[in-house]
Amino acid sequence: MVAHLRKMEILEKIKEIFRKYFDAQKRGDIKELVALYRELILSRNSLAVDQGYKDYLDMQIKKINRIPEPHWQKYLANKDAFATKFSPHLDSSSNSPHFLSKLPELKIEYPENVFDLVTKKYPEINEVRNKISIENSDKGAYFRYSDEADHYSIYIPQTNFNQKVSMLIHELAHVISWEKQHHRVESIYSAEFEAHQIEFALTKDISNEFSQAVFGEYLMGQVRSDFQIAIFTNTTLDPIVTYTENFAKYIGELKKENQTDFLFDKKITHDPLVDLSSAVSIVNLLT
Amino acid sequence: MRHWSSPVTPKFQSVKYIAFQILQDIIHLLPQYIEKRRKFMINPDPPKDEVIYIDLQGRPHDTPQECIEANLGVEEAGGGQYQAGGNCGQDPSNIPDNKG
Repeated sequence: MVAHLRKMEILEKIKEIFRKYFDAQKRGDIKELVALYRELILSRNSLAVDQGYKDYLDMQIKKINRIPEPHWQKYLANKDAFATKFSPHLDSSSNSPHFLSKLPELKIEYPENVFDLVTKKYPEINEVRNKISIENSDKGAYFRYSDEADHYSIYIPQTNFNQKVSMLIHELAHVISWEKQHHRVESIYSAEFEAHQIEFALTKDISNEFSQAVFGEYLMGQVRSDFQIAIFTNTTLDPIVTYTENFAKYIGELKKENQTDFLFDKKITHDPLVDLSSAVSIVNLLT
Repeated sequence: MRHWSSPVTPKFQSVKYIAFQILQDIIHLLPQYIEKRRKFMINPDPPKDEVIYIDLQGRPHDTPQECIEANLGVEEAGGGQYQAGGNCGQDPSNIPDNKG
């Protein structure tokens, strides 16, 4: 009960930090946002320490994502080399990490031809094709499977056409993996790893440029993950400097006015380390 | 240290003592626990700006439903109920280009 009370106290504190955070966001008070972001990091670390983990990152690796130790070590050893392997190869402007939208729009029918492309390599998708519906999303791409209805709902946001194609391929890759595993997955990490493996095999079939641009889109996930790995393990680091350095490592120099963008990025403030499984999978698959 | 008049063996006495201590702790902490839980969970229809529900990973949500689902996602990951989400880095709405 004491432990439970402590956990509730921490959650209550996080709630309070967020109230102040949203208020500071409205006022655009960067100094206060940085201070509150630091408090958020410390509180989330306390939450993890209370559950027996070294810090929030440790909890994410072991409890939430269940990343196998060899994969985690390979990621740590190769992430810097990965950053230099892809960044110079992609034509990225300093503060716009979009790559797919810079390519000419693919001349295919959406979603029919995407299904056709997937079917060529993974014919098993045909067996479940009539159980899949594609719906609009207002919060990124994801899928849900309903046991009762034996139905897949794939949610894709209204965005650039090439991005929609890429997102649908990734979600269909999840469906293929989900079917292969008989609706059971070992962990968030294993699901993400397998989906990326299938996805990269498919995007290569479209074109080399498309495949490279897909990697490029994922660089932002690498930036977010690497930045937060540093911040959660060394809470004395300056978040603005650390974010700017990480962005430069994977994508390019960040303009001064964009160096505090992370304070408004929900994938960092609301969903810390949400890209971790994906980032680790990609480095493991591509290096 | 509390005094015991019960004519029982020292071993049993110590077990009884520990049990009594735990019971006392529970009785002492129960009102605090109920109050915190009430404050944390119940918030009937307050203004949207002020409503934040925090899940077990310390992530904020607009509705209790979303918060509960997020917690279930963690509990059930690996148990066959995992709902895959996120096509990381590909959602333009997550790349902030405007502040405030």
